[in-house]
Amino acid sequence: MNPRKEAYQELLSLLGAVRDGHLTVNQQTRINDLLTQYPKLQQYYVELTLVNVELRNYQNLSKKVHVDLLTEQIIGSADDDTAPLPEADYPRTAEIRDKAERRLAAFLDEQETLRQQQALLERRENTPSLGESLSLVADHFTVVLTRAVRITKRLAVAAVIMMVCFAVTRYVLNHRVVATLDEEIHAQWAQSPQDANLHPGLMTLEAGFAKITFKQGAQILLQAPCTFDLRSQNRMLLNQGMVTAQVPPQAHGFSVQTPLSKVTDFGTEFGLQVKDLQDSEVHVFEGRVQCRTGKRQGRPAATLDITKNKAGVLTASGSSTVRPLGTRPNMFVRELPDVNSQFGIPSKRLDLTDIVGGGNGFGTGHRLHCIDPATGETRSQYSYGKRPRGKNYTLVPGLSLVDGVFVPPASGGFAPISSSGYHFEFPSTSGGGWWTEVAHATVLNLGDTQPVSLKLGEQVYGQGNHPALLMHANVGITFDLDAIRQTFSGTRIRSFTSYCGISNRVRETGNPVSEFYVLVDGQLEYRQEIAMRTLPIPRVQVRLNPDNRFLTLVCLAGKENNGDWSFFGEPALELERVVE
Amino acid sequence: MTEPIDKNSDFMRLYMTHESKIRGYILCMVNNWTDADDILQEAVIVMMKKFQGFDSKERFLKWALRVAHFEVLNHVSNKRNRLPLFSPDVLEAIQERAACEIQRQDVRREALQHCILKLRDRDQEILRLRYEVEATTQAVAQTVGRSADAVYKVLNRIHHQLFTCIRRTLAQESRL
Repeated sequence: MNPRKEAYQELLSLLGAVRDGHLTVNQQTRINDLLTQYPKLQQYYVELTLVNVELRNYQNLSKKVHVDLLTEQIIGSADDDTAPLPEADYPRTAEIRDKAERRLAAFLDEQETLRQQQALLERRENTPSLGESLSLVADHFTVVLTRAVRITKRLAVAAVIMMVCFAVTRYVLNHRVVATLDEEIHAQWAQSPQDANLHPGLMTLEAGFAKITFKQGAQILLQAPCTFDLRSQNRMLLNQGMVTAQVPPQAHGFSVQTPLSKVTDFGTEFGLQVKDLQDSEVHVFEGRVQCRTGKRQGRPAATLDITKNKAGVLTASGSSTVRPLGTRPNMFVRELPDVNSQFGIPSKRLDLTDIVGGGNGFGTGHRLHCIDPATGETRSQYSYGKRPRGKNYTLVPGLSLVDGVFVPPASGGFAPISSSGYHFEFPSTSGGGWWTEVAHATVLNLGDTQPVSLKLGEQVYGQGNHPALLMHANVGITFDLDAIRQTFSGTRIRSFTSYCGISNRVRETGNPVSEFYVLVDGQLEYRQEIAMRTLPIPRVQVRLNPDNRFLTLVCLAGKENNGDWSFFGEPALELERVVE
Repeated sequence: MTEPIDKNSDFMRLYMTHESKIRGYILCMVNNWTDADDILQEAVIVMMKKFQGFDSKERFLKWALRVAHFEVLNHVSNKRNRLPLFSPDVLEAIQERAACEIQRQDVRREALQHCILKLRDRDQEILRLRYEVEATTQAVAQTVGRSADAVYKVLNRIHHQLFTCIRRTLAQESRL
């Protein structure tokens, strides 16, 4: 039975009540009655809902206005050679137009043949004879046949034109420009963009940084490894990786969809990280963002409002928390680094000095920043002067990627070198105590001399892209490899590499010698006594396995401890992307 | 070591291709955007877990709809404090029709794009405010200087026009 018009209207009205959230039990019963009574209403409801789904994506649909104007231009120009075509913007346009023109020419030829046959037939009709009459019947049959062929061909041509229009439409929709690529630093793409115009579709930044600007104004800084899809002029999907977004007022409402949540901006600057399609972390630097996640594992759906200097963490299990930025204030790169001073490269090389400087290993830390080896406190500038040893081993709560620091005992013997209880037996040393903090060093200012640079051989460190981790003996530092892995998912730590030695440009005080140690999970991987001006400059390379947890660097004063300004030059964790 | 990442990438490609269809399918059965989004997220988790053993990309949509269907049933049975909108019989009928209609969603989307262009400029503007700007009916009413009730009626009329136009277009395509 077909439903009356009133039944459609009643169903629409009832669905409106569902949408507005005030459906009564009677109304609910009525919906089910209507749908049970009229199967056509079921079909109507399903189709209407599916149209609504598409309407929700109106932003993309509305781009069709532009598409249709273009399509009209193309079709119109098939009859007008002088009409300009936007071939520069849409390179396949010419190809598509040529095909359409060839089909059209074939159709016109066919028409001409038919016209000639018709004329011949008319001439014969004027002079009928017996033989000609038979011929006339045959010709008449031919005309009927050719008319049928003509209609079929017209339909075929119409179908071809429709297919061409459809192809153009699809092509333009898939190739609409939603953002531009502004700048790259050490960038490597799975598939490099052909030019600065970026289109919807899955993209993967495998290494380095890239900066893009959406058409609506939101600026995004991507840090590898990063897999994403620019879905529209003000919306993107982030499957994995780290992005920082600066959203001007005109892009208010900019949103980033992650596999398990949606982050919507309200005029702000924020960083977002998605780890392996699972957990997300949002840091808000300015303004406010809203995160919405669905109900999972018995937990209700969560909507988090995150304000300035707060971090929101959403986990795959459905838990969500908001807390102060705390120990990871510089986790996100907020501005593209200077290529001439950048040592850390996402997915390739993590700068350990940057971590000591309070950064994420890719340039967000600060030079001069340091860690007191006796207390674990972080400071904004290191100083010089002998100080007592302090605790055996102390944690560094201010830096999430550093486990702890320590001053080896001058008398030697076993000393703790990690929070998990690893110990190592150090030899006795001269000196005792410590002289400078473990520092992201630049020039040294000793107070009684002009500031001088750290130098090994002819290479100056602590400047440009040659960072220096100053570890004036006796000090040690342990990095938390697990914390680093968890922070930078999608990459694997391959090895630790560094130059090491005693700066030859500080003081000429005898011939100091230091002992350099590299320990992994408490096991000795490298030990070397190094004197000032040792050439070639000693280089360490220690392979690291996925199950290694702690990397410890130690500098001990040797027998001659005057002026042993020991440091690691360009200390890095070499990374590689866990690739598909 | 690298296989899970490959699988994840494959999954995401397939999922993103069909996301709106899966969402539409779920929405048909619950008629509530919030519930549909919640169910979709539940379904995605299940799909991600089970995708490791899935090897036919061609059948992805069918498989994903089946997962979504079970998640809808779970969702309905878990909402003990709220009566499900549809009775079991109606839900089953709707599910069958939705599974069938979702196959034409790409064509429906194309048709919708054309049909929107046939609307009057003022109607297009109301549609833009409602769906692109995501303004509430009240806000749309204020912007266009009409009552909320009038905007409700206009939106209903626009929906009906679009619906009719799309049906006509789909019918023509079927004949072709």
